[in-house]
Amino acid sequence: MLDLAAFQTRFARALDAPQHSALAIYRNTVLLGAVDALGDNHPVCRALVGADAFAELAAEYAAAHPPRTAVLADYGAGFAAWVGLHPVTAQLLYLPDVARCERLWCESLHAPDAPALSPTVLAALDAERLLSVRLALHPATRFAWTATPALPIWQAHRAGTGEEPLVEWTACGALFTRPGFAVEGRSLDAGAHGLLAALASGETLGTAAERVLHDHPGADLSAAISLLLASGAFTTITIERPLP
Amino acid sequence: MHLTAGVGFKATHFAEAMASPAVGLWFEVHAENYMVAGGPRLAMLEELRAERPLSIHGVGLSLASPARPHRDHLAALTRLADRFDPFLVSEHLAWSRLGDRCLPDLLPFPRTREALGWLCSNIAETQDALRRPILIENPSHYLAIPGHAWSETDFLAEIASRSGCGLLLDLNNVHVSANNLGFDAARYVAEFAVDRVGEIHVAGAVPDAMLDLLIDNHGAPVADPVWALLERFIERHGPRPVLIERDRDVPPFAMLMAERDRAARLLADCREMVHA
Repeated sequence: MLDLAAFQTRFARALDAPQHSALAIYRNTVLLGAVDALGDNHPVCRALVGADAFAELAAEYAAAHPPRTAVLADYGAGFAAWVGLHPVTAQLLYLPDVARCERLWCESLHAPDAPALSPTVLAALDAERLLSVRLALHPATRFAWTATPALPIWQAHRAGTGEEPLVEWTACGALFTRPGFAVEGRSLDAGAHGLLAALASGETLGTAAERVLHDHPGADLSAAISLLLASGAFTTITIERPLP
Repeated sequence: MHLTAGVGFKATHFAEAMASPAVGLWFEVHAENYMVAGGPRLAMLEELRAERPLSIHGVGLSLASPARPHRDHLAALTRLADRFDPFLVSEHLAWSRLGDRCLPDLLPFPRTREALGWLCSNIAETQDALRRPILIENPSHYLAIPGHAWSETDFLAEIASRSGCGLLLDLNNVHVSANNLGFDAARYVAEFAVDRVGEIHVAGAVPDAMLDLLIDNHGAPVADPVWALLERFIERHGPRPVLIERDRDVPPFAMLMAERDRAARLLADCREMVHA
């Protein structure tokens, strides 16, 4: 008689191989749970690849990276990196970057609640204080820089026009924020992305601005900060106490 | 308020669920879908909870594992129960975790003395964390597992009496398991510890395309034999909160409510008989 641990180890191993008996029902349910969760968390990737091909891809991923928690809203953290090494990417160069955007979207959706910083808070500061301000990211803010125009492709598919989007083939920044109850995705140019990355690393607005102007001399800083504030990317500010 | 019949809550039904005038209507959600830090899912559930009683149904605690409940998972369940104050919290007679791997299903095991010990201590730990008794549900079966020392009904009764938990009688699971393992569903219900039953589930199943088995996929209307089991249970043992479960091919809210109203009528008829 097997003990409980030995029984369950053997049972789980049996579910890893194709089965023709009633074990197939358990195997299908276990697999389907992961495949459905991956598809629910990556709806644009599923649309890009096609539902059937995505199900095969997801089953391959699930075999390599089975869920580690029962909270499937979280499943697929490694999918973007994994699919980047998969042959399917040869036909769909932007797929890994779209997967990365969808992961950020999911993270933003389920992140903790917090109020978004009102743009008027910065407007009320004098120039000196404005430069010394540090902005804390809202817990739902996620961003990335991708080598392919993943964000516009993602946006076109979310809009669901059914038409092939006319997207300029260029590297692109992606920003996800949750100002209300819905996650919003926006493109970022190199300047806005650089500013957000510098602020996220804890630099003051003044230092971040200098860095952006150094790296991207033509950057429109005021447009960048307006866009970030309007999107609800920040939650609070801290102002450094001037030295006595 | 009299709790009558409820339905599994779906986000797509939110507006109609909020607006429904049905007396005694309540909702059940899968705990794991709400184990997130923040955002619209929790906000929606908060609004729903302000209007209606809520039952929280866990599918991932893996109580039949030969290991203690996963600490983070139990903490997340406790947070949910503390925040939403459900009138019922339930889990399954099953396992779904092996080490750090999760198998999103409700898997079978031999009902041995060892399994009984683990289940009772895991249920006790869960009830201690939640500071309330939980209900344990009979699962669907597809495969005869050798090595049982108890029948499922005796095993559940033993768990209930040792741990103080209640039982969730899923009549569709009884129907599906009876079909798949070849036993008599009515007899199973007759042998069930009915005094411990705090909730009843009904749902639909579909036949498997390849094997001669019924699959409990919650993807079809409640079948006639399951309605018959429900009617008989209520006649004999009195009313309990009844849930219409539906997770696949979810129909419009009104269609779920038609099934829910049928269950609510059975419960109301029974109450009238008692008071007549």
